[in-house]
Amino acid sequence: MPLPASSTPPPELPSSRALIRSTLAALAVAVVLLLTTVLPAEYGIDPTGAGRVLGLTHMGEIKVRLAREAAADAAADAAAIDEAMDDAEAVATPPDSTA
Amino acid sequence: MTHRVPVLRALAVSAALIVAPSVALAHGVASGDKGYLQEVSGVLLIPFAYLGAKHMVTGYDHLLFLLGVIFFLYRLKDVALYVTLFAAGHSVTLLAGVLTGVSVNAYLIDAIIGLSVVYKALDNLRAFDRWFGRAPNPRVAVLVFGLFHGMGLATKILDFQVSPEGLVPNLVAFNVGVELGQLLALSMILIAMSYWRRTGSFARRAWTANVAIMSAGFVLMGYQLVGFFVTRSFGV
Repeated sequence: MPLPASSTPPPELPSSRALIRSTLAALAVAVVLLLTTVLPAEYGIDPTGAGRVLGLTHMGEIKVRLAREAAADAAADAAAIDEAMDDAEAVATPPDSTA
Repeated sequence: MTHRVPVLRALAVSAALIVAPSVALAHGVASGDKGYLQEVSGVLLIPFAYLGAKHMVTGYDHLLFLLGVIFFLYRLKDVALYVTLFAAGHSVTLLAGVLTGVSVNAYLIDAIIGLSVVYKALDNLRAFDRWFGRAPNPRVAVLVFGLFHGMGLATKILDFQVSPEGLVPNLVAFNVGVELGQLLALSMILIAMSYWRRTGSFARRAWTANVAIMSAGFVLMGYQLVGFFVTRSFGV
């Protein structure tokens, strides 16, 4: 059976009904997955309680706490690095240096 | 997402909407790589190329989009054309994004990348032909979404906080690595696809496969959009 040779799929169009049904099915599966597993595991958000039962909510809660701490640390680190760079430059470049 | 809007205007509007101070959070980045990049400076071509390739090969969002793009491409010439358009798109915004230091919120960009997956799946199901009589030009679409994928890459490089020393050659190396990683990943997808196409199940399962790809795109969008609001609440 010859396959279509170009990037255009076969000419007959699917029905709008089939498209809408499939899109809604894709969306429904995505929402269920998000609510029961992804959001609990990533952010500790567990609207259905399924994440707690599966043990995923704990993971998300730890991740969010660590991310919060990392965000605070990063701000402090950036300030400290700037200061250290300034100090290092001052040591490396004596005032009378031409470099 | 409309593709008839001129690219520059679309970019300006989206940039205005979503430019936000980037959250200092290791988002989608191995902390080991970030640590390494903060230790070093100067021109490091191979390490940057490696990281670009790694990002692409391990980036399921980019791979899902590419899978959608090549789903109905049978000729190697077409595959090469579309991949080149995609590469051109993301190279532009990767370089522009890092060099201007304009940081786009990673979660919003990744949500748009999720949207690109949904879009491509719908396009493969021929939803746009059915609903609007014609589909947006697929070449323009892949180029425009390439621009968004590049913004995602730029945001990740900015998040690495790399040294400004040797930045341009390093970025070019990263970009070359992205292309190499893309070629690697694409060859694997193409090999698997060509075996699948030889079986009768391809025609029967093509619809279901694209609905599954669309569903994965919706999951990515939800994951990233919720992430955007969760990290906003940190107030950083």
